[in-house]
Amino acid sequence: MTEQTDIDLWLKYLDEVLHALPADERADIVNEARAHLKEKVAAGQTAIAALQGFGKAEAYARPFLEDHRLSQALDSNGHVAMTKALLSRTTRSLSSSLGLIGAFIFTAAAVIIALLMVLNLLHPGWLPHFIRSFGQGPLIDFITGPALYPLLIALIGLDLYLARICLIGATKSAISQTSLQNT
Amino acid sequence: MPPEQVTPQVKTTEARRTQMYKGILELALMRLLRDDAQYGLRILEALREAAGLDLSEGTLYPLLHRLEKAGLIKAEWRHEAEASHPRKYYHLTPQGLSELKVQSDIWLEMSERLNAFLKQEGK
Repeated sequence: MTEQTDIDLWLKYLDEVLHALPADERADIVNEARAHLKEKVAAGQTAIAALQGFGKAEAYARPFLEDHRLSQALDSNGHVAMTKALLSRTTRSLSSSLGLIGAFIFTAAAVIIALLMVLNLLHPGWLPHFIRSFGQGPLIDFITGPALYPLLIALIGLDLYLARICLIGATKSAISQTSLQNT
Repeated sequence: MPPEQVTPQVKTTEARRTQMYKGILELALMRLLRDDAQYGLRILEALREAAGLDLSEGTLYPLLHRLEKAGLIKAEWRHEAEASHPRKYYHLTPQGLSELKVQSDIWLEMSERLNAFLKQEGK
């Protein structure tokens, strides 16, 4: 009786900590754990011994929850959702940290270029003059002439695209790691 | 030998083993499910006996969950006469079979070259 109570309590708690998952997915995880535990107890193990392989309910639930959070962030295609999901893993995952650093650098570069554009709109000729202080030549003339704004816009687009690649790559990498964190 | 001298050594060995496990668990699991559908408890036993991989439930089920979401394996609940409760069986999908082939080739080539390298006589 006590054996069954211990297992039921653990399963009930597992169900609670998995509350962020869709109901069918949560029920599937809990039912599978229940079937496994029943089988072990039927084979003669105590509830404590049977539960040992699962560990604490919070720890067992963590990879399922992280996988769900990361998959949702990836499916949403949202930068904020991916950044939030990755931020929660930075202390445990180098690839998540690197992905976030890359995204931050490229986003910062895009913002700086946008600011330079605004400054040049407010003070026409300032940016070409600044660029020419680094050198002269036909290429510089082209860059500081008619190609200036298209080039700056293209650079902003490229930076934002690279920031997105960093976030998506890190999120995908994080999903592949979640199931192994209890190893 | 005093226990405090044993513990760090054991931890180091375990940490190394864990690091190596991470790369091959997915491969071993897909290989196991290639021939027959299996359920969790049977998978744990088979991996331990056939592949020498001593996994915990806390490692196996999240891994199965991820592989299922990735479409590499598929699961179904079965009610069997000899069991008092339904069991969730997993089997490899065609996509999983292709992935197994790719990962196996990479692993076999890598381990063959690494084995040869590790067994090389020192100059």
